[in-house]
Amino acid sequence: MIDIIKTEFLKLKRYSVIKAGIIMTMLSPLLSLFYSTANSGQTWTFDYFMQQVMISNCTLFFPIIIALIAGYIITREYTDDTMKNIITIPIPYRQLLSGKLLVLLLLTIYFSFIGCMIAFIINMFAEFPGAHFGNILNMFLRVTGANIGVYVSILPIILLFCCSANNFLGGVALAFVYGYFGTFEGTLLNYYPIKASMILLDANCGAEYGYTYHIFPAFITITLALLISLIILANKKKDPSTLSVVKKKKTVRKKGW
Amino acid sequence: MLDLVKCEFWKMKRKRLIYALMSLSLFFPLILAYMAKAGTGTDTTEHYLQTRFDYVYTMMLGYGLVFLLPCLIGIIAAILFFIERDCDTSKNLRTIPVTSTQLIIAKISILFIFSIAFCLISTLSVALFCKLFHVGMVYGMTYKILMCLIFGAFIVAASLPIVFLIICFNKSFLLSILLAFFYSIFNWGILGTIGTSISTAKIRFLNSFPVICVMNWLSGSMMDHLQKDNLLPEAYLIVPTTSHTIFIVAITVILSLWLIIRFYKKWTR
Repeated sequence: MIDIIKTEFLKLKRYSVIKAGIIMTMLSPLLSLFYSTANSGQTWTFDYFMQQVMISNCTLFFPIIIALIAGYIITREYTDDTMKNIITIPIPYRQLLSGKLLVLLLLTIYFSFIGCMIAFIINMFAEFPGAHFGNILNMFLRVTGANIGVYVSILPIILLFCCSANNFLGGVALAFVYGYFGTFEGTLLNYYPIKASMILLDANCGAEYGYTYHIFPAFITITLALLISLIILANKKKDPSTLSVVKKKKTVRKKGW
Repeated sequence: MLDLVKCEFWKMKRKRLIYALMSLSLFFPLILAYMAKAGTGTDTTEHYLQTRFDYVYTMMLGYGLVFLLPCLIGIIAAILFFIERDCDTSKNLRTIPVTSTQLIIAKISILFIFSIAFCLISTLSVALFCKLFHVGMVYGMTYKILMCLIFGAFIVAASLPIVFLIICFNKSFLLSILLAFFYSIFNWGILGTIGTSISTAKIRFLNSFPVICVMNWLSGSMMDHLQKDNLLPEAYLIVPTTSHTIFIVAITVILSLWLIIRFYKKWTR
């Protein structure tokens, strides 16, 4: 498994989608900074700013980033026609997929760290009060934890849609809508995986709208999402008829007469 | 031109993603109605019941159409414009002959039809699910349907810059979808800057963005036809005039169409 992860990282070097992921991660703190310009009577502190970063991460950016990168690194084996080589090594499809999903988890942590660093730099310029070492560490851990929760919530979508080159973009669009529902508030959302990942790290995330959330149902929801993902992964089979992508061969133009 | 639009519909038949996106117009109001049901109190007065229905309807307009629809339009535009490139059918169309401008107008007409159909189905679904789940009282449907049809047309016009960007970059579906997401999130971000008090300069700045301008204008037009218990008096200040909205939309359409035709011609040359 370590070798698979290592080779995945070697492949990552060439993927431009990682750069797109970093840019999207940077947008989250910028969007929160944008919100801070609204005159709504809210006092912006470092805690509140990071909470806004966490909410926009979980609802708007990370579902897309995770689904996009997952789909890209999984379907690369079909679009680059390297699956046949991997299967003959032999590496079972499920093991390969597990390796890719683990790399995705590490990338989620990496993107979270970048997002937090950008948020910290923005905070230095915006000068929101309350940024001291303990607080910074606490907020970094919260944001990263919530993003890992989003990763777990998105896993079923990745396994059902993003493993096929044909359905990959549909999966990304679905992840967008799925994350987007997390912006809503309501007691029922305690059982919604995206919201649950936020509640797990900050149970007061709906306090300003008058909603009280509970950690235990959120924990159960995330555990269920993980369990469903494991079941799907355990039953996942490579289907060559739907997963093969035929590449067009470029015909060479004849020279001379 | 009608033949071209018909042909575009035939091409779309094979794209399953279009059906999936269209199904959101049913799915989204279902979730909203279900959530509104959970938050409905025991009050049975007509005023309260109408407020609950308006809550679902405005949520559908705000979340479903202002934020989601530009993104869906971007995805469909990418499918429509890339289909000729990917299937290598551009040259066949040119020999008929179909000009680039005709083809672009046919494809943009499809976007308008999709958007209006999406808005119409969303509004009807809101009424249906509110009735089914007993969320408030369904009323004023003729006006609501009329407004959503206008909104459907205006939101496509306001989203044409994203179609231009898709054609301009002419890369992959991935980049196009990302651009469409960015456009939606960008509008969402701008909306987030509206606070309880807002300066005139900021109102003018916000209303220069097509999607925001259309949304604010529509909200202003509907204020007298909806229950507005929780509306702040300041909310009226951000409503642009009809002439300003038409001006912004017209500028967006003319500029976007000109750029789309220019870049598409360069692309298919």
